[in-house]
Amino acid sequence: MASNILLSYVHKDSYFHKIDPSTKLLITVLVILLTFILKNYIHIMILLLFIFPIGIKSKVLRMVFRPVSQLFLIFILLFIIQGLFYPLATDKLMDLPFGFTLWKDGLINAANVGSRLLVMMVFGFWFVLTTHPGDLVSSLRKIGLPNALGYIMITTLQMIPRIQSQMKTIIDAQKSRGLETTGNLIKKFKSYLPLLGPLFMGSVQQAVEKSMALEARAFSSDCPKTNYRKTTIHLKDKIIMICAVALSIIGVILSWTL
Amino acid sequence: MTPIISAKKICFEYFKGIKVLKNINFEINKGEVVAIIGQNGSGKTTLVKHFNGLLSPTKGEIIVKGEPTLNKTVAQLSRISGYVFQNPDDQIFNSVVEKEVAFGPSNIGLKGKELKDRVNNALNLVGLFEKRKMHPLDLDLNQKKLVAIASMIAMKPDLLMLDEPTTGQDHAGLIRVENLINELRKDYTVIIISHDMNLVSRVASRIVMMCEGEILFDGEPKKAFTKNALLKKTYLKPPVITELAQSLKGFKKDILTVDEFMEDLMRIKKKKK
Amino acid sequence: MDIITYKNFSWRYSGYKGWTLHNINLSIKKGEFIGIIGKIGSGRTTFCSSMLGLIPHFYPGTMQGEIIINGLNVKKSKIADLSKCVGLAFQSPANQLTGAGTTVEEELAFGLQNLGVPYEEMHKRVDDMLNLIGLEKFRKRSPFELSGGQQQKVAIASVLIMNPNILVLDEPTSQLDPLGTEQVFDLIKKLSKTGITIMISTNNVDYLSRFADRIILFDNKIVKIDTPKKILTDINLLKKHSLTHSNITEVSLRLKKMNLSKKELAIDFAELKKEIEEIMK
Repeated sequence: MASNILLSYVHKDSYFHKIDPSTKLLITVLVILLTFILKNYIHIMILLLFIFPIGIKSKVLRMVFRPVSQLFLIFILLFIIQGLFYPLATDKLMDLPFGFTLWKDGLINAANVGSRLLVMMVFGFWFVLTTHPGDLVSSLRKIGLPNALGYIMITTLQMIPRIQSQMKTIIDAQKSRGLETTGNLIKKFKSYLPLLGPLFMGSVQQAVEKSMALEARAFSSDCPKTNYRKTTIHLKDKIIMICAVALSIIGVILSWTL
Repeated sequence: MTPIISAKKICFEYFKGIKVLKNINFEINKGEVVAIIGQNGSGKTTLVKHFNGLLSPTKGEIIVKGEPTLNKTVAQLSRISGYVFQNPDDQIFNSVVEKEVAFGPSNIGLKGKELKDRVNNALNLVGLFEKRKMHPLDLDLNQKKLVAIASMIAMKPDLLMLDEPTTGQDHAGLIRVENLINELRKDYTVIIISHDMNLVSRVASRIVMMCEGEILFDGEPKKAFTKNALLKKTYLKPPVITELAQSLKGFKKDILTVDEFMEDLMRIKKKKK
Repeated sequence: MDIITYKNFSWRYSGYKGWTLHNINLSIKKGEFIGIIGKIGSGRTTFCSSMLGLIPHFYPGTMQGEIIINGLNVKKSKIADLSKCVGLAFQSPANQLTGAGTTVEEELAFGLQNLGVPYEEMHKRVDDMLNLIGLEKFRKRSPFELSGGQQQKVAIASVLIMNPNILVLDEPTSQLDPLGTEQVFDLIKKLSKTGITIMISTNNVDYLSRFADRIILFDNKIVKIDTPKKILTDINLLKKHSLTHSNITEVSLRLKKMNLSKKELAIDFAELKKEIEEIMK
């Protein structure tokens, strides 16, 4: 199950796979900014529609939505919690049994937060799926961003699968010592406690060792860096960037004037 | 007598189409010390993880003490077959050595004096009784491995499976592990997975050679190390002393220890006189 | 010319009472093949780390004395600069892999990018290195999917590609099967012939006896530096430091005890074979 949430670059022969990572990064950043600037969740959901043509053209549309469906529960929880316990609530929608109240402004807040989260995730996934990490570093360097930034992005992504497999080994090791991991929620929760220690220690140790490994490979040297993978910002990248910025500005104006 | 483990025609695939185990038949009876040897990635660990239910075969059947494992949890099977992981850091989480060792037996319901006795006995057996109040993180790698083994001994399973018990050990550690195995063989059935041919040749009553998911040899150590073509195929090497005897004229080809070598040397010398 | 010099070097990790390494004096000549042996906790890993400057720069602790590596004073130099002349391969290959590349070839190229090696030269060096370690067909695979032995080779290659004068290996074969071990030692031997100084920490005395020019025995200080012959046949010394002589030496020793031979103790397979053949004549 968990391994399906895993995201990494998927090689496909598509238009968006070939454009420069910086262009894709700009699109993603613009989208994220828009989710905060646009007036309400309806406008944010309109923004979501853009993923369909882009996703189809990138041949990753289904993969973009797969992890979202697994986080469905979180969205439901968001609505329940915000609907019932929104601290700034004033607008009552209806009374519920056991003295609970469903708040309209709570639900609206949930819709705003939820739609923002959804759009950010979907475009974030799209970016990761279509962008080769090596190209990203190379491209970021070219536009003058610090070396470490690209590296942090890549390693964070690569760390997730490693932590997951580490987790599995630790669970297996405790199961082998008679730890029952099936049963009700409380029992389950209790049984996972012994796993946290080794996982935490392991992660800390790994982080220390990784930074040593980086040092051993001249990561902090002052000389100008070069790239193993070649990336170039073509004319079409520039056109896409200009269009994306223009569209975003139009979108903001429309959102706040209509 | 029912074997402790009986694997019947088992196959295993991690991903569809990638066969890690191919049609394995394997049995182990009470009192045996079986060494499983083979290259990295030959399927040794994958095989033994079937014996306590961590993995289930894609095809075939595992019978543990006469009962199929199909609907049993790892926790249930851990009373019979105890698997000690290669890296002790994956399991150690308690702040005191004796608590760490008590974790397994208390999981299977032991309490009070009986629990205490089991823990003390296990720690005595691995020679860490004096260090029972220490923090496991203050132990060296040798000792951490022994804590991991003790924590399984304390559960008193019928079968103990030790995965690479000697990697990263210095000589003192090696001797301790070898002595421990010789101690364990009195009460337990043991499987060891190891690259250390010297250790294997000295302690094993039976050797299983694996290569690319298949068992290519299953028999006495003496025979195992004379099968040169087979060893080559499995990318293994006999112990140095065996190699030496094999390279010399007149010596027996199945010598495993220095004592045997010297004995043979004297035999040949006498004959020449 | 000395490529490595230690003068009264001592190191204590902060929070620990005793010195992990105490009063180390040492000089290594360019091109030497040095074996480093000692029991667990004898300070071998600390010693290896100090050659790259991870000690004192990365770990907190107290340092005394001086280390000069390839003309650089370690205390006054940056690790990044030291990494141009010292390649350090860690004990666990998985830790060596930075994860900065998604494939073997990118992992190898990582250090070269940081040194600013031009594009064409970088690609050539990656190709050559893949050839040398025989992992050509795995170049597009993720290094994390490789077997232990292959990972170890990638780990060594990833520092080797930066053309260090000194290659430091900390227990490079502890997790490998016999074949993997042999391959790694063959590679190291090949490198040694090109004039690189090799510092290898391992208790695999069967290989050290064949390859090393000198062996250093550690026990939080240098107990002894000498030829493999002198160290590996000093049975009492080894025993005192939780180490052991090989079965080769054991057989040779027994031959002497039984007055069958008067030769000096053998450490090498071929040497012992000859000794026995002479006895049997």
